[in-house]
Amino acid sequence: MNRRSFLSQITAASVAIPWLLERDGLLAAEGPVKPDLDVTYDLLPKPPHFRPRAKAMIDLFMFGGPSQMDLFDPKPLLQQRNEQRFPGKVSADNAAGASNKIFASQWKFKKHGGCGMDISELLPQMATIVDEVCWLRGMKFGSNAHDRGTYLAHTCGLVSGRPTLGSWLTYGLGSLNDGLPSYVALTAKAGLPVLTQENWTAGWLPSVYQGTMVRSEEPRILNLDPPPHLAGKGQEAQLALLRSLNEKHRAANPGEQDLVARIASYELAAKMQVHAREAFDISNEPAHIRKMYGVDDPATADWGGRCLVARRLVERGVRFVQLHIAANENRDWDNHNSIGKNLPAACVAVDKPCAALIRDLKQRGLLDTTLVRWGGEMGRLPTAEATGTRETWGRDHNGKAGCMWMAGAGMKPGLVHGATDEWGHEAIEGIVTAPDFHATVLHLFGLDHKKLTFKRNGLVASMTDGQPARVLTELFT
Amino acid sequence: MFGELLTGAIGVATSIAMASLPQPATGATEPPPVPIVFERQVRPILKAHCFQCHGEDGEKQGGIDLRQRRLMVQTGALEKDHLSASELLNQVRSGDMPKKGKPLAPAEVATIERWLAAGAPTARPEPEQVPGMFFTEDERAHWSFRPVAKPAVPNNGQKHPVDAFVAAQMVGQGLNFAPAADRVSLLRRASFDLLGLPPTPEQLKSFSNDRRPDAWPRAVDALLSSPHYGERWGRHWLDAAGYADSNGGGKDSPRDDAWHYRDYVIKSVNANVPWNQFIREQLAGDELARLTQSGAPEVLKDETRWQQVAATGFLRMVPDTTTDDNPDPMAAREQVVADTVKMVSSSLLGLTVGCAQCHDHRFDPISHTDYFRLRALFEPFLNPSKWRSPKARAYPAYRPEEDRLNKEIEARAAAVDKIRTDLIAVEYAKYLEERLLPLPEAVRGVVRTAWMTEGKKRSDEQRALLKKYNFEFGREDHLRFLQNREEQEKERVKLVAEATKIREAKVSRVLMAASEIGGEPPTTHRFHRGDFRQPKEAVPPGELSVIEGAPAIPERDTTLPSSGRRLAYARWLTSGKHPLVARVLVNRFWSHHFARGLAPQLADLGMRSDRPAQGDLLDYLAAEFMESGWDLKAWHKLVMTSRTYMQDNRNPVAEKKDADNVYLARMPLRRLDAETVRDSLLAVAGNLNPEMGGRPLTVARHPQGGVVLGKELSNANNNVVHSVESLGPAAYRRSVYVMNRRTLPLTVLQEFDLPFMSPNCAQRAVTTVAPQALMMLNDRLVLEQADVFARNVIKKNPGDRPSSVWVRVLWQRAYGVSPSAQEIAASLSFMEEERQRQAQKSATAVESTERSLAALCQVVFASNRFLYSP
Repeated sequence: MNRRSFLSQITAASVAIPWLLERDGLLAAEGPVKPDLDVTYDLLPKPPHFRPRAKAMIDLFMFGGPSQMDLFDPKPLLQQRNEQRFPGKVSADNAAGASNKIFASQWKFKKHGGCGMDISELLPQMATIVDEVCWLRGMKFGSNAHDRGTYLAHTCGLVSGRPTLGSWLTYGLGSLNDGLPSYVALTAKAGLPVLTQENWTAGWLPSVYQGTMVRSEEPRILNLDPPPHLAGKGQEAQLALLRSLNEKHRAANPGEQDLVARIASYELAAKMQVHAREAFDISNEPAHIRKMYGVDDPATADWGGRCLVARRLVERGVRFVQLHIAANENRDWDNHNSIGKNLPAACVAVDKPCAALIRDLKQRGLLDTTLVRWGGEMGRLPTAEATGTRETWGRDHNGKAGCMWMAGAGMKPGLVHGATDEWGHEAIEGIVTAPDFHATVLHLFGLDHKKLTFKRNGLVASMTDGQPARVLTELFT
Repeated sequence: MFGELLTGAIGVATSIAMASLPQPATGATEPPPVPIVFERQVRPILKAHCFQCHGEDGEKQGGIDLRQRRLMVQTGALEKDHLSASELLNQVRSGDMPKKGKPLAPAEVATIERWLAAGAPTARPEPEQVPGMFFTEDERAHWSFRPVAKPAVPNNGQKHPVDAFVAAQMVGQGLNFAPAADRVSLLRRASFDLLGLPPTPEQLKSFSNDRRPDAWPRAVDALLSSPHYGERWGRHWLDAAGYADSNGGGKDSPRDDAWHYRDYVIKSVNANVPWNQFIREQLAGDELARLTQSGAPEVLKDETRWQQVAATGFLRMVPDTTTDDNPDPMAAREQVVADTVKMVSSSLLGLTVGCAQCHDHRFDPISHTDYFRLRALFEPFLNPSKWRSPKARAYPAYRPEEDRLNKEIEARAAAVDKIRTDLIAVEYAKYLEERLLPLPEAVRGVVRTAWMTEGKKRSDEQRALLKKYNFEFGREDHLRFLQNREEQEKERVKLVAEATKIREAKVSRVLMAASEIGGEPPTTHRFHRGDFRQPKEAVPPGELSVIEGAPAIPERDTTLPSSGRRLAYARWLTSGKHPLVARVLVNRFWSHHFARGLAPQLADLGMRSDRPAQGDLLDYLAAEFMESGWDLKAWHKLVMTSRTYMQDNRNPVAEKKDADNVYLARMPLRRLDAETVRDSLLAVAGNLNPEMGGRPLTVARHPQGGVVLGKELSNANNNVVHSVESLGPAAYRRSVYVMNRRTLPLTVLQEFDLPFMSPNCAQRAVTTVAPQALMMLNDRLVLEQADVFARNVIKKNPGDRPSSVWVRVLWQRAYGVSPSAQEIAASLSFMEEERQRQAQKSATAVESTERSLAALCQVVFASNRFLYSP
């Protein structure tokens, strides 16, 4: 789908819903704000504040803190001074076991593409998409704890209980599809991610905006088949009766937003029985596509399958898709030790699938309207977490620098933006904070982060909630 | 790998700006002017931005120490006679400091300026000794760190103390209580709360007809005396303890003996064991029982002491992967210790103590050393340097008669095993001959010999021979690969099941327990930056320093065979003087009645948790709980007889003004939790098996996806499940008895937010998503229970056409009320249409009728009225 047809679709769907006007009016409201019991929270498409660039987002969440100086941000000084004492001090807020020894990258870098982006030999496939991607070396979410960094990455705040980005987007814009959840969390084969459901919670937004978790293998969604004797008319009759019972119950309990969400969940479930199997089924994808994503190679099957599912979902109008790493497996980016062994393993799992995703979105014309983010919650230190032998050395957390990339939906392709200091220790140029990141994403979707608000217990809350946040327009085409 | 999950800190630069995030920056009012002093306004700024290099953990870069005014003067940061020219101000104003991280916000610089202009006052004379960590008065005065003082009940005309506190807060909010809930809603609410099950029609009838003035307290008493109460409230505590039947990690190997702890909890809660005793037993039951390695058999003969030792299973519930193949075995042990500290502190102290594992807590007054003081309580029993595997920590406690019984059982099972192995041998022998028959007679003998020779011992000629004649099949321990042996294979499967069943009758008396090996306890060291490879000074056991009034914990109590550390600590926690324990417990209890705690973050009552709007009520309830002798049943009764608890769901004014229900002017609907959804389905279907205790119900990977109850019949590698064998009536026991294998959560429970224990769960998530709806529409269990309901009801009330009697029974059981005329009409026409459809689909007349009622029952199961407690 090209941009024009997408925009026309949005306009067509943009019924003038009093909802938005009312919400705008709120900003001028004085005194305690009351929640809207008369507002129905649903997934109908809502008009954005201004012309959007993005229609959908795929968040490839690299939990653990990928090592920027080993992947995207070569630092020759580390090679020159390998194992010497780090001058000055590594950030005093690091978590565990940092030494003062400078720790050179063990991998070679090469410049790639027209943009000349340096990519480590660990990511040969990503090296082939450098000119499609906007590289952000100035990531600085500010926390070097996994939980807080993850909260920052997903909710823009430091504490639990806040709504996640996908929830804000579905709350602000509704859903563009009719038979699938609009916010999908694709979990790993090995299990749930760290912080489990908090990764896709709606926080204090109505629960209809929370993410739906999907398994990593078939059946990716359980219970899609109606029992044979009720399939068709029988279940339709059941749903009709259920709806009338639930509506009556809801009318008697107008203060309970969760009831609305549950009623909606049955409607969605009914439609998912028709659409979801096809949407999640990658078995009929042509061989060359399966190969491209590495679906049939055990090393890449989990990520590859899920990246392919993500593309299929976006094609079908899903608003926000998130891919997670399991808490229970060791294939993540949290390379405290044995980075020489563990980082390559983490890279192999995602390199090919992620590159394939970008290429595939592009060849289908979806990249114009689909924002893809690749990144974790923090980066790593230029010094060694030096325990045991050199083989077991690793790098510790670093909240002051990291690496991520964004692609599609009007992000400048082939832009290498931002820089860290000579050690890769701290972002110094083109800094992207968590509020900047979220304000920018909302902006791409046509939403003003200050205007997208929700009233709760006498306050008006927003994603950035008064934190300094800048829309990084310099990254846009 | 994620030990540092809660232990890292946020970047210094952002801590101040973001700490207040939960409250959006709107509607802020100017605080009344407070006199500026170092401790209150200035120190928090310096703590966040500067202490890490200038004062904390021995760091005094440039010789500067900013922890006290006195030290600032001493080290030259303050110019005593010319305060406004002080280096401190110059540095932060110019942005030269802090060197790392963001500069101070203008408002923060202004605060420092204001302080200096005021003469740099301190609230009180500063102590000469700066302890390991220095707490401000504000930190010490944080509400949850202060002793629990029982507040006076407001005198506002409310008869019930809980209502008096709640009403006091409503004043000024323009709120008032909702009217009382009707009797049916009330009993349903109480039954879900206390038992996790809906009330039976009989219970409802008897309560509705009870016109005595004390009908309600009697009804509460009746519920509290049900054995289901312990299953429900035991489960709540098992969340906090992180109960699991597996060891966690990637391998997640099973834990065969964890269930003794689960049964101990359920039994204790049912017996209303005072919670001070309950906590003491769980933290130090081994010390109470004077358990020693060699004396264990003697100790465990005594039932009381057996229970005490079983209680310490609490301390063994965290993941323990130390018997897995770990690249770094020491790290795996250390993870167990860290998880133990985290589990205990989140469940009993309600603090994120784990955040101080690597450095001083960034928000709370918990020093790095404090963390190791707590660790020193557990180190004598965990002792990473003299690690004992989970197996080595298990205590078999068989009585002689149990030993005999188990041997008898084993002999019976072995006899069945023999029949099975004989069967396999005979069939293989026959099969061999069948295969040999077509071969030339001359080679039959040599092929037979070759095949019967053990694989490794076969000569090259023999191998070639077998290959030539396609005789390379091996001898399996089943008959699946043999042609025409279906019957025999069925027989073999039956024999396997039979033997397993026989063995299940064995008594298990093996406890997972905490225990110390005696002798000199290991020394606990502070680990530099939390890294166990960098031990620093020794740290004695003790309470968090910010908590006042704690007794000294002995390093070695010579009157005990163990160190006595945990016992001393447990006694302090339950002394009635500890500020946190009762508040944390009562807050959690409250959340199980009202959907949220009086303080919303159940596991974090630290500095980021402001004193809640209902703080007085929380303190009153905590004090009352302790004064009553830590009597939970009495506490339930106190709370449940309040107007606050008994009020209706509806209160239009409160719904508008107070959507989060902070002021408690109505009872919110609460979605049933995972276990209650499943158990209620079974109860309404009339299919709940009330058997209590014992080995967990095994879970199995279903070949079509998901995890169900049953036994896996799988291939030899255990990675392909062919089919799942039913557990029979045991499959309908309560959910608390379902095996909690961390990586194999029962799907019907997982869909409704069963927690993943990592290491424990202090607060459950509640989600509303389409897969739950799909489950209610299509899941095997839901369909099966609807069928069971239909069959049972029609059996008792026969008829070949849908009957309003059936609808009444369904409504009574599921909703506790009779259906309205309209509901009956709608249900009858729904069923009649369905019956006709089924009849057309060639179902028999009986089937068609049953299916029509089952379809209706399923709609009721799926309805919000069923899934939410009123």
